[in-house]
Amino acid sequence: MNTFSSNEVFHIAAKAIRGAGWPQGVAQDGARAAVFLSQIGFDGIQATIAAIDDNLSKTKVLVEGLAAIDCLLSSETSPIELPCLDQPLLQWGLCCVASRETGIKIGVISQNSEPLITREQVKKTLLQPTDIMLARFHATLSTPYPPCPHNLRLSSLDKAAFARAKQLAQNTYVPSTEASRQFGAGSSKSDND
Amino acid sequence: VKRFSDKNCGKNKELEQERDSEIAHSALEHSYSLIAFSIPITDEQRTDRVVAEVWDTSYVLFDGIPNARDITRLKQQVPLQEAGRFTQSELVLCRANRSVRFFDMVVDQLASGNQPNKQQILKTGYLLRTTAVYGNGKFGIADRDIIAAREYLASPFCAEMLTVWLIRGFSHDLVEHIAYERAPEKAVKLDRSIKAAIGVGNSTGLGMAPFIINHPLLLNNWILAREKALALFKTQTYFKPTQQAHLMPLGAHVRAHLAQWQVDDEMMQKRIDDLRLEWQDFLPLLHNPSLRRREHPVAYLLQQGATKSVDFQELLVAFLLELAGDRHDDLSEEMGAASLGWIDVHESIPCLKQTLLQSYDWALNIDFSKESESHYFWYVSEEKLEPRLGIRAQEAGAQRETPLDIARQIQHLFKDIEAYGEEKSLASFLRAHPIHRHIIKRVQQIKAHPYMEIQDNLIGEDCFPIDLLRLKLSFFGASKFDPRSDRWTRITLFQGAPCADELGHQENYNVWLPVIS
Repeated sequence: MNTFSSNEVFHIAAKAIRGAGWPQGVAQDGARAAVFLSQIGFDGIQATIAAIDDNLSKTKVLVEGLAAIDCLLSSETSPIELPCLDQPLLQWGLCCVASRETGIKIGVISQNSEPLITREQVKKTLLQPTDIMLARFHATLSTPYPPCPHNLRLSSLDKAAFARAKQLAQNTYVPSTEASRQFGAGSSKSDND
Repeated sequence: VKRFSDKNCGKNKELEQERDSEIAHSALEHSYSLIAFSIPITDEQRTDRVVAEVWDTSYVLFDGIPNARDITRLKQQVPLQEAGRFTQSELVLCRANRSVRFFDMVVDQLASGNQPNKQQILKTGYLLRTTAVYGNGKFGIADRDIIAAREYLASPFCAEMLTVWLIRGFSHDLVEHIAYERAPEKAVKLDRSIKAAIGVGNSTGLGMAPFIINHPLLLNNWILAREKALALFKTQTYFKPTQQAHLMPLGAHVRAHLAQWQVDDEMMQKRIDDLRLEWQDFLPLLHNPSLRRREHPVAYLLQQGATKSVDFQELLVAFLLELAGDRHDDLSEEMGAASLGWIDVHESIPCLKQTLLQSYDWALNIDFSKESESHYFWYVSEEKLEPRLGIRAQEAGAQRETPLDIARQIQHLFKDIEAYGEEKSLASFLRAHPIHRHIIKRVQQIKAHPYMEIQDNLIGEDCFPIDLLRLKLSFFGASKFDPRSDRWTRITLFQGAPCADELGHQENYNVWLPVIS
């Protein structure tokens, strides 16, 4: 069975996001969320594609979602609503990564204001279209994200999402010409020394 | 190699022969194995570039001892390289091409009962030349996290360098094996002194340049380790007796190395010629007895070299670090680095602006209204995803440019910051300008990581990409840089290094700037 390394997940997701037209910094944060999701047993590529191709909702994970996280990290203390996300999994992943890297406890809360932390809670709630609320958690909360084993690899891959990611990544590549083939890399095409 | 040698790691080699010359190597007590495949290819098929589809030899560094099933799987996948799929058991994926003339010549000579000519070793220096060494999860192999805490392999690129060192040993075995198969009655093995003189080649192109730009904290930590080592040595009041004893022999060693460094590239050869003269002029200073009594001799020598070429100054620093001995070796443990992390949204806009003015003046001073300053664009070709450099005014594809234009991004950021209200938050600025998310992260790290930026315009007409390649390769102990163009170089690694069966038996290896005697 093919499994994917975290580095592969990162690059596939980052190129897909860049290929969809988002800038490098957004692509890298999104891709790191995809890696995090993959390391805890979700399909990070599928979550990325769902966020990119979410044309139904008015909010975008990679625009409003990131902005909401930045607001919560800076000074915002009231919960922020992100209405009608097609699939909020990547948003949750972004919150986890931001929380882990900044030490500021933020995340997604349920309708009864409980933090969604475990994989099971997330699986039950965030794999379908829904409104979500992002919030800054109380400092006494231990860790607002599940443990993340480094050796767990993405194995169960949504083929359609993977194909879509590859298709989007194509937008970051430049077609070859004879001139670019000959001179672009700086070495001849034959090496017999 | 020093670490392996200190721990007296052994190598258990098993040679398995099949029709198609399959040879398996096992190395070191933790049981890492180099699995090597050698196949015949035509001269027309042989290219060191990423666009290649076949190679003379291909390898993986396997985590542990492979079983028969692993070997069967790897035999199918490894020769395919980028087109293959790999598992967490594989730590490094690599391939190498023969140095055609030297390889065939060595085989011929061994088969006829003779040793290779040392003059020929001087010209080439290697039997096999690696053309890509992939680590960290590429094509399904293990992520770096898997080995990041392991003894020996924790420092950046240790697994990759172990692989290359094992390939050097494999290259010795391969020529001996072919010579024996050709003439079992007459064939001889390589003399130990010849083995020592044969390193392993490496061919490096533009792919290394984006790596340096995309791993700024790693770059900082590498340079910082070097700067710290030098700074610590500068504080030493006098040279120690062992250092005094090494001064002249080491100076002569450098001169001998420079004398053996010959390249085809005219510009590079001129630089080497100048360096030889400068070093020759400098040697009497090392011979001067007053240096032994002088306080702070390192600072003095650096001062004496300050008016010479940059090549000389870099060589002098490397010489001094070598002279310092192993007292700063532990700094290599600080050379790893994490990613840039999340943006610090608490920083104020005026503070960010101040950092730009203080630390990025080199970028802000470039005049991008001149066409020459945006002459090139970096891109990834859809053909096997090879990194390439294009001329903006002449070639299509600039709209898909790889964002390595750090200086230009800095200027855009500065312009947008100036137009934005200073009292507003960084979070709101990012909302309005998400395009700056990456460059702001970089700027926020610069104070703590002063060496993280290549302070040059990487899209300007004056950009000389080979300098970036040399920078990275120098940290791998590369020597004898042999440029093939302004964006491609060959080097030699591990010339003079001990072979696996010599680990722990020798104290002074001829690894730093090797000299073929």
